[in-house]
Amino acid sequence: MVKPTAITNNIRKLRFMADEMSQAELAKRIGLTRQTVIAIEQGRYSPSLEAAFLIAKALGVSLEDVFQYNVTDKEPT
Amino acid sequence: MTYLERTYLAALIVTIAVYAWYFTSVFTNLPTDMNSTNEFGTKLWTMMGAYVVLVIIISILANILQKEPAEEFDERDDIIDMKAERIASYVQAVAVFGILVLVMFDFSKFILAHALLATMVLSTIISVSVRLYLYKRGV
Repeated sequence: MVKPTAITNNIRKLRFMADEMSQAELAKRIGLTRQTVIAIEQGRYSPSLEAAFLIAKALGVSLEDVFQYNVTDKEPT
Repeated sequence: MTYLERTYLAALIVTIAVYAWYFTSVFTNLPTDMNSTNEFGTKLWTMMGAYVVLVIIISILANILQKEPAEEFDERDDIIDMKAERIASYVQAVAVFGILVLVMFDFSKFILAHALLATMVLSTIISVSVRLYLYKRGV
């Protein structure tokens, strides 16, 4: 049922490392809804670039530490 | 299920229930003059008014019964909205073309009015269904 995305993330782990920040707290900090944070965490939604940067900033890490792009057969020519 | 999904589901159920009742009652008791808007117009407008009132009541009830404060819309909601409206607009475009064909073949005002109404209902049902599906499956 859930559409898989090529982007995976470590938000759950990074939230835990950031003083067990709640989904609601993260959502509040980045200006998204809690439902959207849940969807991002579960890989049901790939956030916009701006939202991705805001998540990384809120968690105090770089973008690459939060998100990984797992497509190998779409290399630029 | 979130507050937004519950609201959409309630709207979907009301839409299907109200219009199923209306179409069943109208098409099992056809007017004698299919081109006289006096015969079917009153019932049509009454039903549409009742539908709007029901949707408003549902929205008010959903707000009252909600335990947590309603969350604002964000980028994900906007994307889901756009996708749902795009699919609904395809349905509307195809249906409008079909209604044009009905006009060219001189169908009665009763049939044309109800074909238009069916188009609106169908696009609403599809739009809401797509929203519910995308909230569950992901974007």
